[in-house]
Amino acid sequence: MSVEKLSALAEKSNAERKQIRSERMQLVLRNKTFLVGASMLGFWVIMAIFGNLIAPRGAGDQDFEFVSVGPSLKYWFGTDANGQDVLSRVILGTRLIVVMSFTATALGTIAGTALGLAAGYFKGKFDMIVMRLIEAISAIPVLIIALLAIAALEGRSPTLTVIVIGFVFTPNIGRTVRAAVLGESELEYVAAARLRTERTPHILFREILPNVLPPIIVEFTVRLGYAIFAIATLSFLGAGVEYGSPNWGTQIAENWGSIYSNVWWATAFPALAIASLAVSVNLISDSLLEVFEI
Amino acid sequence: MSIIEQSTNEVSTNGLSRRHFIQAAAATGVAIPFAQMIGGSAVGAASTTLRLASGKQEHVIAPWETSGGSLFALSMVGEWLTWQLPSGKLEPRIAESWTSSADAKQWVFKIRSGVKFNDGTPLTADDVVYTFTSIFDKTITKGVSRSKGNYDNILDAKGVVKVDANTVQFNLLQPNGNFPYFVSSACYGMCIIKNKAFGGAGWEKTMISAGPWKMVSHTPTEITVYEKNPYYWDSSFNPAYSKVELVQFVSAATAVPLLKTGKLDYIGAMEAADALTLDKAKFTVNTLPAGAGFAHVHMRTNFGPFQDKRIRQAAALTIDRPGYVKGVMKGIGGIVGNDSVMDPYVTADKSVPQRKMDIAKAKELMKEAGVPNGFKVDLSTWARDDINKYAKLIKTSFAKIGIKVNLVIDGSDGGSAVYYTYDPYPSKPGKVNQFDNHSWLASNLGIVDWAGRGVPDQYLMREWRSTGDWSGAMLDSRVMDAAVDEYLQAITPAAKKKASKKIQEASLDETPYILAYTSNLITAGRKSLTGMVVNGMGQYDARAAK
Repeated sequence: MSVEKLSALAEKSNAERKQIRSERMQLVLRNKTFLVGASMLGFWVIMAIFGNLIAPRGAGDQDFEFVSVGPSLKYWFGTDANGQDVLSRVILGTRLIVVMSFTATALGTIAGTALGLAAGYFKGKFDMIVMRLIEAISAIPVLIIALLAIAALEGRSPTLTVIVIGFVFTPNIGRTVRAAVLGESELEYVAAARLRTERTPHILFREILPNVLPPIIVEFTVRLGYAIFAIATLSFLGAGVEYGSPNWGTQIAENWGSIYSNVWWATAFPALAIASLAVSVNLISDSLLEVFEI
Repeated sequence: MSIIEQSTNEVSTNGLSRRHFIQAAAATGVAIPFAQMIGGSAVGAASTTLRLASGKQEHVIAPWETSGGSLFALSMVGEWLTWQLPSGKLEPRIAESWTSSADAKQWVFKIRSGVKFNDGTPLTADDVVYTFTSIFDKTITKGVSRSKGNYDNILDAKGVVKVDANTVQFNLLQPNGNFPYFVSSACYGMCIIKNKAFGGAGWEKTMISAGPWKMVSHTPTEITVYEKNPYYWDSSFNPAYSKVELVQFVSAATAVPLLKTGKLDYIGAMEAADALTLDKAKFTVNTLPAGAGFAHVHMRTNFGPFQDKRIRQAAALTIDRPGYVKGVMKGIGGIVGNDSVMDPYVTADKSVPQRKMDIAKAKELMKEAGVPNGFKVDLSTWARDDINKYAKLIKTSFAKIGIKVNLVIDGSDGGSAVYYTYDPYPSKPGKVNQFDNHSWLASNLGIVDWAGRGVPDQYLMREWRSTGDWSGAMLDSRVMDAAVDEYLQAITPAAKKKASKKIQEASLDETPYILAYTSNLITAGRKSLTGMVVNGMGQYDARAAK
């Protein structure tokens, strides 16, 4: 087949793909599950951005006249055993978990995508070595790796937690992307690009990447849900962020003991916040899966 | 009563503290197995097994190494020359009686006849001499004894002399009117052990001492089971229980449900908020008066950001002490305003001014010290219900003057394996690494819990004097040293009060520590249980439990 013929076929194929993407986007925006999930996520993103303006009190403010007081008109979510406003701490804790989970997932997605693209495109020994490494890392539970890394590096900071979670997510995303690339790399538009003597980065990132975006986007949302739980769990275990910070997982760690004293609100509201954020992301993920038919 | 006996008895009205438990993420994992492990009994039902809750042991349960939660377990099998009562006063135990010279430099203790160790071996003056001399000899202790610091400048090995089979004399390096406390359970590592026995790790396998109970089995960090010591010196001791189980908990809060469901009989120390949830018809809650046991916040004086005393003074002025005691501690605690350990004792001079929150003045002091915008600093401590809350108070209070506190709370091994490392020990100035490694003796800012002693001597010697081996702040003040020495050597209450005033004033001036409150010991047990006693150290006396 001549270069011209291949190019014509590739152009036609690209046009069809663009149309499919456009139709899918329309479907996504009409999907009720997506809209509910996006609304919930949007709520938390607003809290993360404008939390300082919305929260009625500071994260560290203590009111010794109202210690372990249940939900009331003055304190909608009640106060904890330190006399701190649970509502304010939930609102102010949003930014950290939202930023951390998005950043960690983005980090893992970028690294995993790059790895998956390369492995799927080059194949051969490179692919084999990368896949064995990915399998080895994937065999260890996320939390164990995260705890080991944090302990080994003797650090406890949001940045370190983000890097560790991003690293742990990289293999899974890499594997998904590789599988998609293996199929794509055999198609005409890739052969045409090769015939046009395009450079490898161009083929990977300009030709193949746009066509494997749906599974990447779905994988991103799935991982985002995991990241929220991982960060909350690490914070609960005292390995994520500083004790005493208005982080949801940390708040649960600080207050769960009060449940035995019937002070449920200091634990319940941060837990509900984690659940609602994770559910919002999962709803988005489910709707994308449905639309993309993956 | 001699003037020295008067002096000895004019101790704190209470002398209490808590060694209660920590809150940590792993607590559920600990509590559930215990719930399964220990059998149940209906609330109020008599049982032949008495089940007591204990804090988590920090180190091995051995006289030379015991600390923190392990002293609960030790208190069951150990016996001391004297025993500190909940009132802070002393009760004769192995020592039948004691007398001192007029200058309080020689103390003679008569050993009770017929005392035996729990393996049936007679306990003699040789065992007492060995107990008190071995701690000074590193070739014997292999360097593991933590009790030597109790006796710095007070006693050395040469000063412990056997007079006869039932008499031991202590020749002190300086006068001390409170010396019977130095041989009491308040020095919890000084229970009498057998002559030539190794009191370090390994001792817990036999737990041979002369206390009322004998160890049957011991699972480290979990449970210790005891039965009556058949050789106990008090022949009238006839326990109502054939067995006592001491179950360790990471957090007192996790023990409360077990108490409520009858799977535990007694909790020796708990948070006020937990105690308030107990049904008074089914449970007895006792609150002992606030005492000397409290959490001490140290600010390192010889390195780091708190070297300037104006910064330390400013930090101390940020705390709303009455608010914290009233709100977080539910009013069950004492307010301390002059950041001195002398406050709870009857010899304290009440005319010394009490510190009150004054943010404007604090900011002024920060400006004078050249740090008007504050600084960042780590606060190191270990995870325990009350300490967690106190750490947050410090964080939010210091923030008012720009000091950004990052909490580094050790939750390892049930609480304090890292924080209470003895790696930089001794903490004497010039002998310790000059950096913050987040341990209690090498940190810029930290919180250390101290058990309640009947007299302040140990705090003063080990924490406040420049030679102290447990000094987190590492204060090196000639004024404080002189005041401490004056107090230690004072024999009459009047002389002690005079010295106490100097200590209190020096504490206000130097502010090496923030002592915002004194805590109370809050105990709870099933209603039908009587006779359980806990002293200010948190040590159990279950001899009369019924």
